[in-house]
Amino acid sequence: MSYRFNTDLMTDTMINALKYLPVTLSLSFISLVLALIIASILSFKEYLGDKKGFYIGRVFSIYSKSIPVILTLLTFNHAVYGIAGYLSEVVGLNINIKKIDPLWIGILALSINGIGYLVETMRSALKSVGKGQLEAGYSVGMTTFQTIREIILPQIMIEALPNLKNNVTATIKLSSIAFSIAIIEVFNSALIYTATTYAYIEAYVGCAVIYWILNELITGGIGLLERNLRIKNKATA
Amino acid sequence: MGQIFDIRLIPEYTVKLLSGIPTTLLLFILVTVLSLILGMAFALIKIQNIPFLYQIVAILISYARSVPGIVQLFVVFYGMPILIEEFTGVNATLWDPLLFVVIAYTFNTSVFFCEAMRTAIESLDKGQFEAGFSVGMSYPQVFIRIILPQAVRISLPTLEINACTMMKETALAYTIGVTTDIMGRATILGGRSYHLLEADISASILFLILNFILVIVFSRINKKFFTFKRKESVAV
Repeated sequence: MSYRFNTDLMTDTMINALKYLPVTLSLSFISLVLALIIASILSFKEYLGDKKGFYIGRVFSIYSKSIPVILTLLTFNHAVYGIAGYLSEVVGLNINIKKIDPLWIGILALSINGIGYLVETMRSALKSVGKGQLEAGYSVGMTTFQTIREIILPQIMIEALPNLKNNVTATIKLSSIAFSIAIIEVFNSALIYTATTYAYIEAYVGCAVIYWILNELITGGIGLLERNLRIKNKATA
Repeated sequence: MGQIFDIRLIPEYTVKLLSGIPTTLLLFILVTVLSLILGMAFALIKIQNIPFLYQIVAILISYARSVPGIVQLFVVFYGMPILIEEFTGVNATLWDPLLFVVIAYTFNTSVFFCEAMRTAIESLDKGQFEAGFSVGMSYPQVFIRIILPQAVRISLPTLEINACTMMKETALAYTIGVTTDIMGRATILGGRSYHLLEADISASILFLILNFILVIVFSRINKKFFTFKRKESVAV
């Protein structure tokens, strides 16, 4: 029995899956932005000498370093639906469980997972800039906010970009696990499509191709941005 | 449904899930050892710049870096049996899914190991090779006795991070029907008792502990084998 790879079905699945590309992208980018904001606050607090920022950042980084994303996703999923069910059944609030969009749970879980990695990224970037820059800003009478905005931010943007690139691709890759909590994104749409075509291997190869191209494009784009920023920086320096 | 969340179940489930540790550890150790070997081979191909093989490794690296682990796992799990049947005629569809998990993750992790080792070897001075050749050592001798010990020391932190990531990713094995690891057991336990959240939290605790052990083991390795060299390099 020889197997024939059906390329038509593969392109069908890919076209169908591409419709859900916005879901994948919004899932990964919203959670990245949220995680970046929180991670920046934490690491800037640490940079300015606040011990609390350091400890909270450590907890987040240990959490995301050691616990699989799938467990984070499933825990949040079960917790949110459990609490909603409890509130509607026992307390008597009027909550329709079916109306909760799992996309928000996915964003929550992925951003909590992302904070740990982004805290490390920001911390290493801030470390490479050094404390002297802050003191230099103070010495000419700038406030903390001004120093961060005018002096430190432009520098850490360049320092953090290579690591940030890895974080972006990692988050896009992790967003495919969101199929386990019934978010319909690229991978899940392909899984659903196979239920009608039985073309499993074609669907998975198609998915792999989509993610491959997407991630290569994003890595290339950020690489270009990186080079651009570096050249600009050198020109002004 | 009387109890929605019972905190007393968490220790109970954690003890029950301990039975999943052997499979998870077996997976982890197998994949690590195989990836070290394969990653070294990839790194050598990249450094030696062997034509044709170099291009293949470059494509593999790009693939493993850009495609999600779960998609790679599914491609291997559904694609390998077809390839095996095509070439040897053996029906592989009923083989243990663990085998395919090992193959998929070895492939994925070896690429990351390859990059870690390649950068470590390339960071070493070219003079190291030349010094070895000057006292009449052959290339394999120089590589094993001089380059490798230093490269391993440099790449150990990166290897540790990649190993941690891989252990987390092996939790996905339950999606293709592995039921004996921590995650597979947790899904079954939670599904059977409807205490899904407790099962998830117990599994998370176990992964946390496993990761702590891993970090301790790596720091022990670092201390035991490489502190002497580090002191020496500081003194010089």
